[in-house]
This record gives sequence, structure tokens and C-alpha cells, in this order.
Amino acid sequence: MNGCRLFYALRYLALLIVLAIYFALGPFGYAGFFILSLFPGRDRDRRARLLQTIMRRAFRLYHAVVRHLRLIHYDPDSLRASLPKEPSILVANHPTLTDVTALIASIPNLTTVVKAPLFRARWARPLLHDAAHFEGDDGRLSSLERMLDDAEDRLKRGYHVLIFPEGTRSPKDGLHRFGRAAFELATRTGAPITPLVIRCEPRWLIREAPLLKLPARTPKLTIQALEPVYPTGITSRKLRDMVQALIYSELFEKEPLSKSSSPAEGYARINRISPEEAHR
Amino acid sequence: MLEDISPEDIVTDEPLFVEGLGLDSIDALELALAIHQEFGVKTEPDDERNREIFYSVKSIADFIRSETGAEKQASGG
Repeated sequence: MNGCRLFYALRYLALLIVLAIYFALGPFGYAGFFILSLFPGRDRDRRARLLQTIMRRAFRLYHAVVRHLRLIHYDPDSLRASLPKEPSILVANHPTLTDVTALIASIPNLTTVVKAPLFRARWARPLLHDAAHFEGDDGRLSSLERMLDDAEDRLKRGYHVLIFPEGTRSPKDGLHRFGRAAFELATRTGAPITPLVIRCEPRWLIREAPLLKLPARTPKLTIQALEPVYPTGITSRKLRDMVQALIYSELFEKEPLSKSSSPAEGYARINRISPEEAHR
Repeated sequence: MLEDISPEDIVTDEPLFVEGLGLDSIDALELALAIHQEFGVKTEPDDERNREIFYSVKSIADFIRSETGAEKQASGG
């Protein structure tokens, strides 16, 4: 028991040190990106890939540090072999804030939708914008159209596009209803959807377990890529339901749909309705 | 858009979005585009007004009528 307590205290101390380092050094990093953004090069894609690589390496280092400090177990190399080579739309559940850093650490050529207020923030914009990330919609129709155009542009330029279709962190024991933007993007462009199943056990960096409420055990984060789903002959609504059912069943069902595949049934399970109703 | 719903299923003055027919923002986008192509009427990107315009089939029809003038009778969504 005492050993447990000591271990917890040490991990808590490690957390405080990581935070102190972040707040002490973080501003220099952002200042560096800001200065870099004042010298736009000729090739925006070369620049974007450079910034993405810097970010990816930085988050790999971060995950190595927090792994050694027993704060989060995550292996950034675990995802490498299972992603499609072609640009795809990565659709993931969002159990914790740390899954974002884990995804960035693991996936080259990754662009993502960033919430409008963060994307517009002075300190974040030079990095986010130049690394080819793009702004999420702010509720207006014109901005939704702009977001879809931006995402299409990134796919054409050869980047993966990451979207959390729930729009917020997943609830503890389920998924919020997926929005349709990612799936509309797939049917418009023909790009495949790669469903990502993220698990974090015990959960941390959720509303019930904020930053300073460290779990007793070290959280283990895993990301699993399912087979890509191609949007041929399917509406974005059905595609959405199908991918939501796939991710849901992988997380919560004993026999996931990726093994048996009956999307209507999975969808019905999510919504607690009959499979016939699921077709509506 | 909604492959399993026939026009008869849609009640003219009931809400189209969320609690009513369950349309989402992507539908709103397609609807705005379709209305523009069909009637040459452009909806404002301003959010407040869109909420009123896209509330129901009736409100959309009213909007199109007011934009195109009373002589052209719009048949609605």
C-alpha cells in the first residue's frame, strides 16, 4: 500500500515537472514557429511537411518522456504498418485529450480540422496554418462549405485528414452521434475512410478525470486502425452509420462488426432500435 | 438526400432540422445549393436568418416567394 502511494506521489511529481517544462519552454517553441512564419518560402507543401515532421518528432519525444515517467503508456510506432498509403480520411473516437498528441506522433502527412477559436488564436495560427491544418466550421453554412473545400484540398495535396466526428470528447460508455462532414467529404472525393479505434484505460484527461486528477494506474493508450472503407455506391448518411457502428462495436461489443460486418445491426445496437428502423 | 422518405412524409410547416425531420447542417448546405440552382435565390450566409428560412418547407417557400416576387409561385422543397 505504501509502495503504491509512493509510486503515485512520484508520478504526480513527474506530472508537475512535465507541466513546468511545458510552461517554461513552450512559449519559445511557439515564438520559433511565429518567426518561421514571417519568412514564407516558395513551396507551401515543403514547408507544411517540414512543420508536420517537427510536430511529429516533438510529440514522439513527448510520448517517450511521459512513458518513462509512467504518466501515459503509448507506443507511437504501433500504428505505422496499418495505415493506407493513399490519402485517407481518418475518423476516430475521442476518449481523451492525449489521443490528439498520440495521433500526431504516429502519423506522417497528417492534417486535421482545428476548432475555430483555437485556429484563430494568435499564438497557434502560424503553426497550425503553415502545417496545412485547417479551420473547423463555426456554425455558419458558408464556413461549413469552406471547411469541406479545405479538407478536399488537403486530400488532393496528398495529406491524411483527421476528423473527430463526435465534435467533442466521447462519453464514458458510448459514442456521441457522429456528424456527417467527414463522410460527405468521402462521398465527394472518393477518398477512403480509415476508422481509428482509440482506447485509454483508465481514462484520463476527460471531464471526470481532469489533468490534475491522475488515475491510480498509469493509463494505457492504444490506437487501432480498421480496414479502410471506400465510399462507393453509398450515401454519406449510410457511410456515417456504418463507420459509427464499426467503431462502436470494436469498442463495446464482444464480437466486433469488423469480423462479421452487418452495419444495420450495429447501427441498431447503438441507437437501441430495430434493424429495420436503422435503414431510415 | 433522404432516400427512404417520400415528399408526402414531410409536413409543410413542421421543423426540418434536428427535432423534426432530423436534417443536419450538410443537408442545409445541399438545400441552399438546390434552392439557388432551382430558383436563382441566394440565402444569406448569416446564421440567424438561415435558421428562420430553413425552419420548415413553408418557411423556405415563403422566403423564395418573397425573393422572386409574388408572381412566381414556388412549389416548395
